[in-house]
Amino acid sequence: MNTFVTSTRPLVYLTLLSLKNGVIRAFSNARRLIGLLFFVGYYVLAFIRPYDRSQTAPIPLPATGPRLTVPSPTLIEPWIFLIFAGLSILLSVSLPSYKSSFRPADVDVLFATPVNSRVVMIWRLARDYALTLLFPLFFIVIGWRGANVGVQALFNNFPQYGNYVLRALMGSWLLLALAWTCMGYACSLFINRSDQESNRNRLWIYVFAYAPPLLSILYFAVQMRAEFTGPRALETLTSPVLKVLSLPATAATEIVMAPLTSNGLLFVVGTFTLLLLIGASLKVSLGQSSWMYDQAAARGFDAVEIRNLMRKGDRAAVAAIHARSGKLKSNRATARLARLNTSGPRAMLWREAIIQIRSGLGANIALSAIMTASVGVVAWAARSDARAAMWMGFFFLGFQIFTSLTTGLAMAQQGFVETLRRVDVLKPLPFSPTITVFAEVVGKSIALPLFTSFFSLFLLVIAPSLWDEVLANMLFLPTLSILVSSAAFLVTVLFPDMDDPTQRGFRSLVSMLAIVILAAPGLLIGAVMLAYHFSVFLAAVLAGAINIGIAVGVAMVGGNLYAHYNPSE
Amino acid sequence: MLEVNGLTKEYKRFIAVDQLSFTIKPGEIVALLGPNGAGKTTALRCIAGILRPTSGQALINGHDVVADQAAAKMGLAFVPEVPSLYELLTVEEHMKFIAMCFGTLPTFERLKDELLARYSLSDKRDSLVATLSKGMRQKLSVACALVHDANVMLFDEPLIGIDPEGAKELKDEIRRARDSGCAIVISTHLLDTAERLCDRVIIMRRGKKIVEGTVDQLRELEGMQDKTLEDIFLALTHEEPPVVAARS
Repeated sequence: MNTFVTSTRPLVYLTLLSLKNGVIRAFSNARRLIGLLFFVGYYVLAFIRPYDRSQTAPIPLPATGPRLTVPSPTLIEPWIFLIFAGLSILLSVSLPSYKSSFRPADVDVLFATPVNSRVVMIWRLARDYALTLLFPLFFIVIGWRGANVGVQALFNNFPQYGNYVLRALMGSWLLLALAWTCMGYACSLFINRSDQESNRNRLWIYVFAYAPPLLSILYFAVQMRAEFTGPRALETLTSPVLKVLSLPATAATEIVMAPLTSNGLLFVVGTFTLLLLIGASLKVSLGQSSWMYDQAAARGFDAVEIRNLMRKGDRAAVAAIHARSGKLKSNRATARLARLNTSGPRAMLWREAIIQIRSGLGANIALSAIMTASVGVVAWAARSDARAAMWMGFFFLGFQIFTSLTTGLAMAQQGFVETLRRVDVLKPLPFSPTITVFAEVVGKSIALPLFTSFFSLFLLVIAPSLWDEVLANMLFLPTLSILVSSAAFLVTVLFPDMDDPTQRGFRSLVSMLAIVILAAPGLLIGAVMLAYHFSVFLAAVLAGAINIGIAVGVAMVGGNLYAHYNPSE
Repeated sequence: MLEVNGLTKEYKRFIAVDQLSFTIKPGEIVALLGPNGAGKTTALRCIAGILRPTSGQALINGHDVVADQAAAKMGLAFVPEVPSLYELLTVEEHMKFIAMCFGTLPTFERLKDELLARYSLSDKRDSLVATLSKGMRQKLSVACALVHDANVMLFDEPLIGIDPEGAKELKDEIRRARDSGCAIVISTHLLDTAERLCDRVIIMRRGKKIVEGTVDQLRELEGMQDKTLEDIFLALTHEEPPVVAARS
């Protein structure tokens, strides 16, 4: 106990002083201040206000507010379960990954002191727990408008339960988040150990982490395939199989539902299950506290440097760190590509293909593959409903365009920082600035849409009637990506200082504006053609041609700017 | 006293430190020498209880740094090569934090003014660490090492990034610590410093200790008579380039 107290005191001191100095520093920067207010506001509204006894009066509703009828508590259960299961699935994704919350200062200063490593772990776990609690914030912000109607209806119809449900939801989330944080530490510490025990059992940890969510999704899909209806979905969400597969979510749901169904035993069982998970995971985690130091020392410095570089958008430097640590290597795919011979500006495309495959294209392709698989599962389940399958198809195509735009923009912005840095290598090459710029633009933008378009062929299996949309997508997507890339280049060469945070922020803002303006003609022509019932394929051909034409024009302007670009200015 | 027995640190595909053993008595300075990647920093981090050894042990004043880490670290001070410090603490707060970790607040209160003055940190005592230059951070890191009664001190490249005046001050500090009975390990690339400052040297290559002794003892090795430490080091750590058969 004495060790615990003596070890805790410096950590409390460190945390309070860091917080105090951090808050003082936040007042010197508007962005930091907004972040701080947002952070504090969320905690107060989400976790303190529901328990504030002075706030127990029903929330006043606007006179014209919705007056919906809330279904019986048994129909509320699937929705509560869906919320917790969804959060659990998302949290389980990062279960085995290295917890990078240690700073280099912890390694150099704290770890070498006699402060008990278990206390340090609990301290760090508490910080990660506070961050995990923030997890639903994104969904609350996105879905507040829709959810607000339901919450108001709940308060209208069950004022006494409404208050309770809100409190119980928050209480359950407090326990569930703690359970996932502790399980995350237990798994992550074990998987990232550098000993034989970890090597032997790593596979089982992955199975433990990923099998339940995957099986849950599969089970849900199989049930929905038999009957693609709302009632069937709600019924499946309360099935014993899903309850077992999503045990933490089930326990959290029982805590919320117990008083609504007047079943006190459920409350006890739910709470006990979550406490058991928390206790067991904590015990496993604490037993590995010395490995926590080991992992932070071995990876912490890289993790912090990578985070800083990602903030700057310097993807190439991140890849260089991975290469130094042995994570990036010349693999079979790049070795094959390296054997190809080419000449002239095509050599720049060849170089870009090799670099992209080594430095992150794989992750983006994997993301696209996961998305395809997810949509595929839903479309497969909805086969009995042709209309639903078709809408899934449209959703998929829309999502592909969206991800191509956002990922393409990010890759282009980061890639062009490297282009400007390598100006001493690129400028002496025997090409005109326009050719150099266009080759850079195409090289950085073409690979991802080519791969993701390939995935859209998958749609022909699940929704064959969408063949013309799929082909149109395959044609249009690469041209849009090239256009986005050219706009990003233009903005990068106009605001080239990557160390200046103002320019960085401005670059992102102007890039979005430039993309909207430059992509508008193609998209408008395409939309008009579709409105007049032209073939979607024809619309894509014309819109794509416009995109390429604009991209070439932008490359010419960008080439001119690039010709006069001097990194030392 | 520091005792290292068969210390080994393995990663998936390579051995960073391989069966390293040595003992350092109170009042002795030992230099850990070796080319880049020899395993010096990894060895020091294992001894400091930051990295967990795959096998073997490091005993600080008789306490195993893994099994009995709190007791072992009570007598230890570690100064890393490029100190990463808590940026949101002020200089004085940082030193106080270290003193709290070691439970030596009274010592800190007694020594703080002297330490701050000795390392030219007096006028920076209320500055955030984030605002310090690299050299000042190095000085703060050393000052932090002195706020508790360490009798084993580990310095990883301590003279890199410090101006000549600071370097002289630090060397004097290391000698003072030695004279007061500390066992000191210095990992360094500066062979002149090692020769002048240290009582013994340990030369490592590819994680292994290849030789240990005083400079005079190393000169007794075959072919090393009348050689400088630099010559001896280069001769012992030199690796032959791979032989490539010429094609006719």
